[in-house]
Amino acid sequence: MSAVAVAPNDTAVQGLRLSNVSMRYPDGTEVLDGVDLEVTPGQMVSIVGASGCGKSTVLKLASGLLRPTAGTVSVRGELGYVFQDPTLMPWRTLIGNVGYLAELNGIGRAERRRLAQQAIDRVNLSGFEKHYPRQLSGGMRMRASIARSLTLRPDVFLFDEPFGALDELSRERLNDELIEVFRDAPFAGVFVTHSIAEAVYLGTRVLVMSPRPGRIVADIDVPFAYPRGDELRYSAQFAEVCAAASDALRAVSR
Amino acid sequence: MSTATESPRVLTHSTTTTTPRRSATHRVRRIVLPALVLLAGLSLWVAVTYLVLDERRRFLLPPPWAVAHTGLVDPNSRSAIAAALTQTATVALTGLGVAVLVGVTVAVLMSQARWLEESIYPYAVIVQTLPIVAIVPLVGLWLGFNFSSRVIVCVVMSLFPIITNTLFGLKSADPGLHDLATLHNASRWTRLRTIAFPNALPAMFTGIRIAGGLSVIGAIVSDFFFRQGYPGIGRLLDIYRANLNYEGLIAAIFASSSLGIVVFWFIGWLGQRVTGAWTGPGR
Repeated sequence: MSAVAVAPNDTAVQGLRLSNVSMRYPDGTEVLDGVDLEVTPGQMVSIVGASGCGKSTVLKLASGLLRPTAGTVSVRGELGYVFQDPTLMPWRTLIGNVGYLAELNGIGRAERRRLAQQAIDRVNLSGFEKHYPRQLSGGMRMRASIARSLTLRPDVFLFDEPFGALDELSRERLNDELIEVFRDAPFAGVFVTHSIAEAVYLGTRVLVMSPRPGRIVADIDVPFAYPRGDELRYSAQFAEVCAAASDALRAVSR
Repeated sequence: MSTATESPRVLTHSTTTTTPRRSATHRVRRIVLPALVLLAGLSLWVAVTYLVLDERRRFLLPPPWAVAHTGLVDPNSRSAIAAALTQTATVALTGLGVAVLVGVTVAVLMSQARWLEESIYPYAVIVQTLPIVAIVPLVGLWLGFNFSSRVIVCVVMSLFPIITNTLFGLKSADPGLHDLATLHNASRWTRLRTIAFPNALPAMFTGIRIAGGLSVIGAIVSDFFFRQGYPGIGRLLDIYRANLNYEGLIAAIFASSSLGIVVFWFIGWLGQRVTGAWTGPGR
């Protein structure tokens, strides 16, 4: 997947860029209003906001699944997109699922297998290659979904609340694993979540969105170095950043 | 206070001891209970034969052993029933095979073009509502009382559940998978081959299993009406009825139903072979 809609003056920008993007559904609902967003490789931008504020729409626009009613979207390089659900094929084994995107991109069988195996090892699922999705836990299915995108080495990686359905411990473990993956191959990441703690823990920046129409109302820098650990989760500085995001969120949701 | 501390102990005790035993008894029950029903049914049958019917009218319901003798032991009637059943099975399975090919093709076409679905679907429903006894003689008059007319009746009978179930399966794939295909510019054919078709397999087998039973009924009913051409179990049923050979008639009825059961069971087994690995209970 290459450039979605490259504006002439954007050609030098690496990663993802949304310029003054607005989105209105045919029924008149205004979902997004003038969203500007620039994410360069090595940045992981978390987006928090209330349910229905248009967070997921930002990702759909960034990926090209939706077209904006105004503004431009540009993506440089390979795009990865992990949905809320693992969206695995129940009829394929883990390795068959992970190799699917490589298959869609016309990569040969042997190379596909190699890429899939590499990605499976990367997300710590080695040994489960022959398992069907129904035989995997929720956390394992989500790892498989991430591995599927990893096979194509994305330059821009979108995450739509991927860990929302997991229990607290699995979620924390997957957060650390995702940071590992990110440190390994720094992409331009956008991570949508409704958990402020998760947003701060994962992101290099946290964006706060207002609901109806969706606007970015705060852009908060997260000053912590990777890897981040449990000590950070319970530290005062961490709480401070969370409080800043929380205040911004509260101010717009009343 | 003492009861409060005692009751949890009693509870854990009872659950640990009864759970394994309950599953074992359940397995026994699943065999014993249907067997008891069979026994009760046979007893009722014998009771009707000897207690309800007087000797002059006993031929109306011969006892089970007389029927079993006619169907399984007596060489003449046994081979007649077996030969007729083979003919009927050939008709039914040919009809089912054609219905699977036609039905899956129609469903795939409908899934690819909405206008096609909208124009064909109402007629698929109407075909289903046609009373079989009304069409069968007509098919015979139009196309002759031969093998292919019988097959056509079977196809008409069994097409609908294959089309509807397959179409449902083709259209019910996870929309997220289609989004994924869109992101990677997958062709229509690739979507069909890698997403819609495999997703449709379990529903398709459900449809084929229902169709299998209907195809057997279609073969028997058409044979019953056609009486000529490629005689099978339907014709034999009619001969036994006309000759007041009630042992033969009842034996032939059991043979017909056993054909339906075998077809139903075989398709279920095949579906399990194809989709069982990934459709079992989740984790």
